[in-house]
Amino acid sequence: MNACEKIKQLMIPHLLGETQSLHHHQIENHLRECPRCHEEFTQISRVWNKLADVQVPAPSTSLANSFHSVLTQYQRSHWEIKPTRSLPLGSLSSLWFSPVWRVAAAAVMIIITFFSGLYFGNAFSSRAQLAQLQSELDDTRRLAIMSLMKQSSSSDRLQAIYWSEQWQESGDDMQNALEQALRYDPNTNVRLAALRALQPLAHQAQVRHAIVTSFDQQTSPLMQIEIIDFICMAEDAPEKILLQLKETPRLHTGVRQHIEWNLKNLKTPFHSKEN
Amino acid sequence: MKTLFKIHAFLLLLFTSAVISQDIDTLTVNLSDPAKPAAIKADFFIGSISVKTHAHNYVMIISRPSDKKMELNLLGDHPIELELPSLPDKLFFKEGKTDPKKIEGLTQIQPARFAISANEEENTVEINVPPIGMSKNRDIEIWTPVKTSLNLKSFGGDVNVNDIDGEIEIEAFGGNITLNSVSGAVIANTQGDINGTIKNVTSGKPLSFSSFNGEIDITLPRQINATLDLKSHGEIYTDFDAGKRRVTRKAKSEKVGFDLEEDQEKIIELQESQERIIELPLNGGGEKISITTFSGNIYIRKGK
Repeated sequence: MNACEKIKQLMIPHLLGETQSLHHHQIENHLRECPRCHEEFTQISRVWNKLADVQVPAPSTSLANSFHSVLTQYQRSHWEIKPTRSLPLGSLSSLWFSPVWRVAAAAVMIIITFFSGLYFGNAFSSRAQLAQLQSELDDTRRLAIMSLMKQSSSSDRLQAIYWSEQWQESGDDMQNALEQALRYDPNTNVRLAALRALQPLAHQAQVRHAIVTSFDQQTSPLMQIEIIDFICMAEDAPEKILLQLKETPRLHTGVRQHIEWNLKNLKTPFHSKEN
Repeated sequence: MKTLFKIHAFLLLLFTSAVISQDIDTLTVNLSDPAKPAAIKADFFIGSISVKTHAHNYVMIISRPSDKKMELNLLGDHPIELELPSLPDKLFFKEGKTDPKKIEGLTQIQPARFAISANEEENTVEINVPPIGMSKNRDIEIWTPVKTSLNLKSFGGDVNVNDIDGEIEIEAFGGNITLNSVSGAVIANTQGDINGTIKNVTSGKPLSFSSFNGEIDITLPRQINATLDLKSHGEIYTDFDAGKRRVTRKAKSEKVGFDLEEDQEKIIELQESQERIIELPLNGGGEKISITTFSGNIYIRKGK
């Protein structure tokens, strides 16, 4: 688990002020240094603040009436009960077992239970609500991203790809959308962003395959260079793929030179050590 | 003798102006809803494009013969080899304005099919250009309100945008891109240089600059909260605080599963050929700004 994942798990306790001072400082430092976690924490804080704005409904009048009716019934049934035994505490014990004190104690217990329930119930339900809201927020953001990726505006599509990078697990739908963008988006910078968004998923063979096979569809030499760099880094046998790409007809001179340069440098000790 | 020379010079000047003015076309396009931002689209244009702002509620397009030879060098050592045909020596269609005497009392029922034209729909002005080889290269100058979005594609010419506030999308294949005091979203790509001064950035409006082998020189607002993703095989300079920059590598395959942020030794071993991006937070970081060039230098400067 990397630092960001640990911090993400502690974000909600941190927001609730439940982190220890050591964790508190670590989280604060991390949030200062990591823009992504900072952004995530800001969003959660916004949701939390929205929750704070939600007014807790006052107990209804029927609740008060019910409470009083229960209390009255209880009083009626117990006024007639006599003490079955006497304790040696004399008048104090008789006072304690007098119906007045018993009713008062019961009332106090009910009130304490009521307000405790209200307090703790709110806290637990807020936390559950927060988790639910977080989940709903994620779903909404995912839908918004997928929708933005289909917009005609390049800046919308680019922004959607930047947002998609915040997910560790992209999901099939988003992964497909990124692969489509890499192949077919008319804007070079959007295709470049899609390539970089897919790179954290390069441990999946199908993602690597999608990136490598998109080479032929790239009209921009910059994109072809970026794919070559990716192949050198992520593929187990980059030489074989580069030799195939070198035979691509009408290849830009600069791209061909970059392939040749990489083929030469792949034989260095650093690469053989990694293999 | 001296007076005669003056008269000749004056007549020559008059004749030259008449010839030049004859070959300058001006189109004025009214916007459907002047209260709303405009949008301008010019696709597959061979020539330079210059965009300037004015305080009027219409878009004006001035086109004139290009004063520079366009070189379409999309394949490095193999210029003009792909889908783009070479320009013919003799044009298929006569250019220039129609003689006014010939159209006296007549109504135009079709504009020339191979001239620059523009049509407007819902505040979007689309500039239509003749197919390659059907007319001489022309430069266009666009005057538009400040609040305008641009979608410009130029082959061979430079693109110059001034004072625009909107979504700016430019692809200049081979030309240079210059952005002066622009605000909003900017997505710029070229094989040449990019010089830009960003006046204001807007949350949710991305900035992205890429070039194949040109230099990228960007001036950003001094107080900007942003995180730069910088990648180049060339040199990178900035006068922002670069103390918190990190070298990151996006791919985390099993084979190269180490995290560069946690393993400084591997950074030293990392070779130039490999994917490496410098992540530089400005003023604490914020929205991503992507700047990529294959072999040119990158300069990031503090603005006002």
